Amino acid sequence: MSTQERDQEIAAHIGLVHHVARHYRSHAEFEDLLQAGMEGLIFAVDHFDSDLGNEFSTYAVPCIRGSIQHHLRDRISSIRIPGRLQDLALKVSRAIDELTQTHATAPTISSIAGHLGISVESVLAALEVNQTRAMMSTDDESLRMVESSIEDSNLQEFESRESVLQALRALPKLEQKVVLLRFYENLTQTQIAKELDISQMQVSRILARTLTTLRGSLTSL
Amino acid sequence: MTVALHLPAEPGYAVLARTLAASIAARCDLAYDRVEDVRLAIDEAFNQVVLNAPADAEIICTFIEEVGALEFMVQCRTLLEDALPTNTFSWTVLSALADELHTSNIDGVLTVVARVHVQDNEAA
Repeated sequence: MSTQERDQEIAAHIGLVHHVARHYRSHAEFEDLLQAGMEGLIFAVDHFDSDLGNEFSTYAVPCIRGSIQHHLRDRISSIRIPGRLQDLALKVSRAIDELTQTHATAPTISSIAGHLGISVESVLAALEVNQTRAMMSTDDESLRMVESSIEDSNLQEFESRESVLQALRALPKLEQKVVLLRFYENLTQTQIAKELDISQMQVSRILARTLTTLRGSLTSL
Repeated sequence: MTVALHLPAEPGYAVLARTLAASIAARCDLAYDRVEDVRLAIDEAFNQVVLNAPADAEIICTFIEEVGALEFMVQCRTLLEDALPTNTFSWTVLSALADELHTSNIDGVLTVVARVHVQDNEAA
């Protein structure tokens, strides 16, 4: 394909980028979404194989969507923590899951440090980042949902059983499950990770975030 | 060993209490998930105590390393007439995170004490 054909091909499908980007409008500047989506489109044009018998759009739309989602993830996590700590948090998360599998029990901080060849302080910093990031992201949809359902309820009491139930019900399903398993069924974080098939760091992050959310809504009564 | 941390009674300072608590729990070689529990527990206790503190109050977080247990104490002057209510979601959370839990209000000073057991085989 000549450069000219390639340019024409890209221009002919810009509408797809607009179409996909519109779905993510509330998450970022539309211009940024379009730019990220364009990268996905260009990738699709360069890698599409018409011999496979698919329509171009069937191949291009997931590429565009992937590129936009990637952009959003990068943007969100880079605002909150430096890349070095982000990498560290990822390494620690993997080490925890590996060590838990090998030893069938949650590892200690020093064994994680030993496994990765880093200091205990570095492991703690990575864990702190994990929970802090979760606590900072409370002005999200789930908080608004909890708040509005609490406001609607018009409760006068300090805290009623019903208000707690309502706040819990307003949480996303995964959050609800994690909270119930940890605080009412008394499973450990490690057991919950296994039960729900998510990483242990995720469990810890969800707990931190959810407690902050619930505290905000239950005390504003 | 006893470590005490004096902080302004404002939610923003909870991060310092959390970090210190996690460091101390790690020193005792608690498993990773229990270190995270300790961190959550301190955060919860800190925030509940701060919520009922008068303006310009100081909060004191004391960490005591004992044989077989770690004790975390959060103390502050309070506007509450009694100790922290124990029929709340917050208290349920704290109870699940700590092995022993206690709250008192003596002469206007609100205290929350949480203890975490440290087993000998924990480090294995």
